[in-house]
Amino acid sequence: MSLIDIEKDTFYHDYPVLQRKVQDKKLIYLDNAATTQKPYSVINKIAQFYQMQNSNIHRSAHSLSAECTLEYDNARSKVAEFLGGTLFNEIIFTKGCTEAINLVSFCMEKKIQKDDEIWISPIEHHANILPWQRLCKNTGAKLKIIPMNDQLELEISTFEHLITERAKLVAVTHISNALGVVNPVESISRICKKVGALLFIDGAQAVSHTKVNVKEINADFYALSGHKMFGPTGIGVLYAKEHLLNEFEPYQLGGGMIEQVTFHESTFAPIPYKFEAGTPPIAGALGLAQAIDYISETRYDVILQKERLLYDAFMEMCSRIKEIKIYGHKNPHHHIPVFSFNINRIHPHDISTIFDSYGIAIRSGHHCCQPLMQILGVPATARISFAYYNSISDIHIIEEAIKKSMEIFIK
Amino acid sequence: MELESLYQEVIMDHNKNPRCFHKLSEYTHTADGFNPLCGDKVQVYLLIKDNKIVDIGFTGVGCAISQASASMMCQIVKNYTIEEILELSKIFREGLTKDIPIDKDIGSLEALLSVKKFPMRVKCATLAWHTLENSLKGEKHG
Repeated sequence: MSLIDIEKDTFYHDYPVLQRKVQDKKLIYLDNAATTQKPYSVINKIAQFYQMQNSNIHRSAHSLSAECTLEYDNARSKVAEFLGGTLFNEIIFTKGCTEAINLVSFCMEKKIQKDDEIWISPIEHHANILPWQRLCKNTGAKLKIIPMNDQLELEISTFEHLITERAKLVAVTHISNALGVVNPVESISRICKKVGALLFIDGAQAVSHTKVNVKEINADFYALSGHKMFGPTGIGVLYAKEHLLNEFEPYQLGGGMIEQVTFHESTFAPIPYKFEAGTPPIAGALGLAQAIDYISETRYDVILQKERLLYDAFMEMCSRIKEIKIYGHKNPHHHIPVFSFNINRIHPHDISTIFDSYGIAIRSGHHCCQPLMQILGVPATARISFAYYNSISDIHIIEEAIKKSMEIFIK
Repeated sequence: MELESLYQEVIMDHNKNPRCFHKLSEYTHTADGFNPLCGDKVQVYLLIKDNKIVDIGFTGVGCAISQASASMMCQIVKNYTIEEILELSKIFREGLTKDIPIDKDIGSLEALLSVKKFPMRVKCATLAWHTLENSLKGEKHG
C-alpha cells in the first residue's frame, strides 16, 4: 500500500527555512548529509525552554530546576527507547557524534596494547578515522582497513577471513555520508563477536533515514548527532553497553560527575552522569527529544517510502545524462538517496556555484573523507543528499542546473 | 545574470587552456598552495634574476576560478619586479575583499573581480596569489 500521496506531499510545510528563497529562487535544500533542517516543533521547544523553563539541572531545590531535571532525564529515556530499548544508564549526552567517538577512543586506551588491531572501513568520515589513528599511535596498535569491492561496498566475506583475535575494536559507519551506502552492520557485528572485538557504529547518517535498534545489531557502541536527525546542533548521543561504561575512567572531569570531592581524592557519580562533566546542553537534549517525537509522528515507513521515490526519480533523471558519473549505487537497495557525483570534468565547486544560482544547496569537496577520495582517484565530488521532505518536483530543477553546468563548461 | 559574469569568456578560456601550466626546469623560488576546505592545489615556480621574474610556471588541480586565476597571474607577472608583484597582489586581493573601487589598471585581472559577488569563491581566486607571495618568502634552487 502506498503511504504517500505525492499530490499531497507537504512535509516541507513543517520546516520554516524551506519556505524561504535563495538567489530569488525557492530554496531546494539538498545538503541534508551535512545537517538536516529543523521542524517548527523542535524550534518551538527550544524557544519555549529558554522563555519559560531555563535553569540548571541536578543542582538546586527550586521548582524550575526540578522541572528541567525531570525533562532532561525524560529526554534520555526517550533516546534509550528510540535506539531499541536500551538502559537509561547506557545513554550519554555528548556535543555530537564526533565527541562520542573521541570519548570512546580516549577510554579505550587502557584496554589496547601493542600489536592489537583496530579495524575501520575505507569509507569513514574523518571523525571516525582520526581518533582511532591517534589511539593506535599512542598504544602501538595497528589500524587495519576493511576491504572494499569495485562497487564501493565492503567485502564482508574477505574481512571475515582477514580479521583475527588480535582485533580489539571495529569502528564502522552505519551509512556512508559520501556514498549513501548502508553497511551490513549485522554481519559485521556477528564477525566481531566471533573474534571477541568490540563494535563501534557511527550512526550520524543513519538515524534520519532508518529505524535503528542497537540491541538487534548487538553493537557495543553507537553514536549519533542531533542536528543530522532534525534536531539542534551541539547535542549528540553515545550509546554504550553498561559494563563498558562502568569499566571506563571518566572522559572529562568537573561539576555534575562527582560523588565526593576533597583536595586530594575524589569519587565519581554513577553512569551516565560520570560521563557528563559540566552543565550539559540542556536545551539541545530537549530539542533532540522533540525531534524523536517528530520522527515517531512522521513514521519511518513513510520516510523510507518517500526516500525511495526520490531515489528512483533521481536515478531515472541521471540515466538520461551520460556526462554524469555517480560513485557506487550499483545496488539501489543497499543505498539511501545520498549521491556523490561528477559531471564530466567540471570541478565540483563550479557545479555547486551553478546549482546555487538555481536555489539548490549541495555540498562540494571531499566530504571529510579524503582517504575515500584518494581511492576514487578524484580530489573532490559534488554531493546531493536528500531528506524525505524534499519534493519530487525538485528533480526537474536539478536537471536544469545540470544542463546549465554542461552548457557553460562543455561547449 | 551574475553566473555569466563569473564564468565569462576570458576566465573559461584560461581554465580550458591554462598558460604557463608547467613546472620550470630551472627555478629559484617555489611554494605549494592548498585550500583544505575544497582540496584546490597549486604549485608556483619562479625563476628570479636581479629582482625580476624571468620565468614563471604553475601546476595544480582545482576549480575553474582557481585555475584561471593562476593562469592569468602567471601571464601578467612575467618581467615584474618583486615589489611590483607584491603591489599588484595587494591591489587584486583587496579588490576582491574590500568595498573600495580600484583606481589602478589591473588589466585582464578585472574579469576576476566578478568573483566578489560569490563570497564562497573568493579564496579560489586568491589561492594562486597567496602561493606566489609565499614563494617569495623562501628560496629553493631547482
